[in-house]
Amino acid sequence: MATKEDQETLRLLVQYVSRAFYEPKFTIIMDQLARNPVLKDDDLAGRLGLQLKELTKLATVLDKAGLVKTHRQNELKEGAQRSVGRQYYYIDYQHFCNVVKWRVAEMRRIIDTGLRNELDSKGYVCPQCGKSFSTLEVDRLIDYNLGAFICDICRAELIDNESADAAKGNQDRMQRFNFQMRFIREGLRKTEEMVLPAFDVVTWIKQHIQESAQQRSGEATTGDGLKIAGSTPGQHKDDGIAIEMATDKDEATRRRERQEAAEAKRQQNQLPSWHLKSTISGDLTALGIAESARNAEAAAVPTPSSNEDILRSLGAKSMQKNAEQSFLEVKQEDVKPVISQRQRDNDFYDQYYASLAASSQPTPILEPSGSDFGEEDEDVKPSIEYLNSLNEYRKRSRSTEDVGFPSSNSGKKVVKLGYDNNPGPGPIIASATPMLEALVKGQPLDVDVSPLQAQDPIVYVNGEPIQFSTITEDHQELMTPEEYTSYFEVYQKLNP
Amino acid sequence: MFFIKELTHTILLHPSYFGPRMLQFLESKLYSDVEGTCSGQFGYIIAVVSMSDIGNGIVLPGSGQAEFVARYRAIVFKPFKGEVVDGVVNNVTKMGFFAEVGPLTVFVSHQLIHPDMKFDPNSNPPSFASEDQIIEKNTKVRLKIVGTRVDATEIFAIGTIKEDHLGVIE
Repeated sequence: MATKEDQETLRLLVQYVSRAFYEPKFTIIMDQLARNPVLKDDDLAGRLGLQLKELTKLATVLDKAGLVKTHRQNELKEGAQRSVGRQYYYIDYQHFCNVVKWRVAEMRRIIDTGLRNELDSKGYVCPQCGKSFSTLEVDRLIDYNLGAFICDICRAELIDNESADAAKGNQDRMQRFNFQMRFIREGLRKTEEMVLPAFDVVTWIKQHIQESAQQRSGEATTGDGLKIAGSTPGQHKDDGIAIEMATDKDEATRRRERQEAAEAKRQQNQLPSWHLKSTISGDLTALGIAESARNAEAAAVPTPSSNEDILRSLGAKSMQKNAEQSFLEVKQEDVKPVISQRQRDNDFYDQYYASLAASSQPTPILEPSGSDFGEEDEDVKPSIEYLNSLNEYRKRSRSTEDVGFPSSNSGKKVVKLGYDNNPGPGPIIASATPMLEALVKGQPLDVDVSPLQAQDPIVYVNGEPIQFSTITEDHQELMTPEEYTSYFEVYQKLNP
Repeated sequence: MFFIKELTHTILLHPSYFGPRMLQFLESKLYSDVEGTCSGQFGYIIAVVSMSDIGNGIVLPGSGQAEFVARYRAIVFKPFKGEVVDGVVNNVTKMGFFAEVGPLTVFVSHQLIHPDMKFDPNSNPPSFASEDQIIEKNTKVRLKIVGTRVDATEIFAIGTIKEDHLGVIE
């Protein structure tokens, strides 16, 4: 669109023109249209306090004059049976300028020829008897001997008819015209230098008015194309049909975005590491324990996914797992932008990982994302045994297959990305298959957290699973450092 | 503007001309009758191009004269408003000047002469003169007809030289 200055110039031009040549009613319409790019008929009528019919009458005059353009289309109101022809009024500035330019030129031409004709018809008048003669009669009046025109009644010499009433006002008509048109001419001169963009009213209406109408009416129906039946002939309305690429936003993408936003928020709201663990001993504080418990809880809740429907046939158990899996994968992708951001901000990142390690609760959400972080993070990544020991009391333990999965993540992820939102079951099933196998093999390991077990979980002592309640001081000494850490975790959990 | 026009003219021939040279006589009579005349409808008949049909003479009862309705083609000149024509000045007065455009007389009022050209009453012959141009008797001028008065047998026009490319022709 034109610059602010240009718009101002155009607006002024519209106002000058309407004020110079139109009644107040029209002036107000033009003012409204100068302020708003497009106005719907009922909207404009409301603004003017006029009935729709009256407005149409006035607008037709302006439309005929070429100052205002009208776009008509049939619209179906909410719940109405028949579609109603609605009009959208707007000023096509390019056309407007041309119209004004032509009209000014035409006025000038008429005044000019009028002026000429007046000179012709000015004629002569007899100073004695007052008889006036036209110029065309002079051949009868000429006296060649005197070289003058002679009145055919009183034989007096004729003089120029200066006082003809027509001639009086016309003398300076052009001058007055030029003076009174100076603002309009100035405006037109300025518009000459502008490049006025073409204005596509159909697109504009589609973008602005219908959109707002949809917002008003709450949830929009899919595609507004059906609402407009046979609008303007020749103008093909195609808003009913939209080619949606698979990569376009669909349900899954939106959900993912929501999760992403939530994750980002979680990230922001994460307590700093010095709150979660003691900076001296490195042990978790009460706050840290609560936090890690919350994390674990959040991770345990399977997130609904669009894949659910497809995978339902795979069985309840695998479904749950898959849901978790898909969530997990979704997370991987989601975290990415955050990651790149974090790589720029190493301090926060380190801190985040420190807190992660400190909380000793590497949730399945966060853990695989570590593989995306690059070499610098490898040292922070907890070892498999460590994780196993940590998660002992949790919902399920890690099978080797399970753990092996994140390592093959990167390859699978590429595939996943390729078919990002492809609802087809192919790649998902492919990814689900190892999971299923893992499930079958790891069945004994995949122990649900029963209330009893929660009270008496299994703790590893030098690789041997032993009931928590049976752990003695000797056992503690036999434990590897990692095992001891997890034991301590459990201990704290059970004896807060 | 000039046109070639198919016209008719009624010739009354005295019985003394009936004889072998009747056709020649009719022809010369037609020429002398119509050439140079002016009708409001067709304008000035400048010249007869050809006689297409002399017609069958009918002897009128009573007088014995024969009536021939001759059809002929003629060049006619009819002035129109807005037409640009060349003419020769034949009379200059303080109110303007008269110019002859063939058979047509055109009056150019002093209001339709460029203000630079002033009437000089002391010159002989009287003239309109500017610094580099002079309009006096026998000056060739190009003018535009701005109005015509067409009577049954007469056409009068007024013209202007107050426009681009009009005025004295060198």
